[in-house]
Amino acid sequence: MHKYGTTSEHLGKIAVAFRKHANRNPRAVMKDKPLTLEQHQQSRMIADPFRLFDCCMENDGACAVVITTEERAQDLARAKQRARVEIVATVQGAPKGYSFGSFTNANIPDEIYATGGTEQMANRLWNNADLKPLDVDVAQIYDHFTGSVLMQLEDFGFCQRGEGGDFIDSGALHWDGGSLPTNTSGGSLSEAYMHGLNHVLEGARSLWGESCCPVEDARVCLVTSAAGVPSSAILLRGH
Amino acid sequence: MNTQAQRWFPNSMPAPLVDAHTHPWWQACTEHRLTAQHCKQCHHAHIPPAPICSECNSSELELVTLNGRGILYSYTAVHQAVSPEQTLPFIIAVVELDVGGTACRNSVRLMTNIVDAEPAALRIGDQVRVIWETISEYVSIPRFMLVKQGE
Repeated sequence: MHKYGTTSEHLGKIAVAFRKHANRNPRAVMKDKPLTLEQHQQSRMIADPFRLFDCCMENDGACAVVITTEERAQDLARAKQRARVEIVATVQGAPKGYSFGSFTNANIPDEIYATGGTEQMANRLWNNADLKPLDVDVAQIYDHFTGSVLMQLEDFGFCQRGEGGDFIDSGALHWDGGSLPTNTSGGSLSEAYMHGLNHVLEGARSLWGESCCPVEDARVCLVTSAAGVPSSAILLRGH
Repeated sequence: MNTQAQRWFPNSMPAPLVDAHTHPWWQACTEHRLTAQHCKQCHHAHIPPAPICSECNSSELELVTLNGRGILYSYTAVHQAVSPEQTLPFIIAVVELDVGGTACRNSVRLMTNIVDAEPAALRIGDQVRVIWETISEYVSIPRFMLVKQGE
């Protein structure tokens, strides 16, 4: 915010977009609780600039993912009349000097201090998958806090460094007409805090066409893990 | 001014977690000496102390005493209490420490608190200096305060 002029309203628009998605999702903890930007701005401060609605929830719950061979997946997909979801590429890691990142390490390099710390990892992901940000139809971005979503949008190259606020202002994250529909289940901020595994599930749902906020003809979905700590990400493709 | 008696945080706050590598650093704190780990091989400075240098892997390391001055690198005002007895808001800050007068080749940052300041009065780049909060004869914690003009 100091470096690029990002505002609390930018962060609030992330929370509002994800809540809008959750309001369509019967599984979402926040299904019946709409959120306006005004309500976000009036919510109590937790740790400046994060207000209550910039922080994810705490809740109980469970989810699971079954990963199998391509052959078996084809059989299952046929039986369920669903698309087969391929894990195109996966990465994990952290930049040099990161240890636990900006959350606990005051000595990470200055040039990556105001980032999610996932840019190098993101570049490896694009290379490994032979895909680029523009190929992504829908994204599930780990959202323990709104700010980490903004930084990962920049890290993964959906916009330039420092332009995350403008990207959010453009309405990019909304399922209905946004250029990068993101957290179509509501994410950790509004669906449930399942430590990101619900993002993986929603990634599969969005490629099956079974999301509550469906993105037409979605073929490629990015799913990321946390920013600010050693992280990971996957690219999924529906067949 | 008796700085020994100054307290900003209640005893119910979590105590520092000390291990074999960081014990000498906390020991220096009880003597109100702010130190950084200095690598005798490549002169890299590091906090917290580690068993080997993160830059050259040397284990020839020592603690050097810093002058306790620094620059406010980043900060946040926290409005959510860790302990119910706490005064809110409190400030968590990252301070870039001055390594002037040592052989260290890089400055080193410390996560700490700014005390005796309103959050609205803080600006990134402000000059700060260490002030010690003595918890017990075994534990002193370095906090920082803004350097007043002419100080």
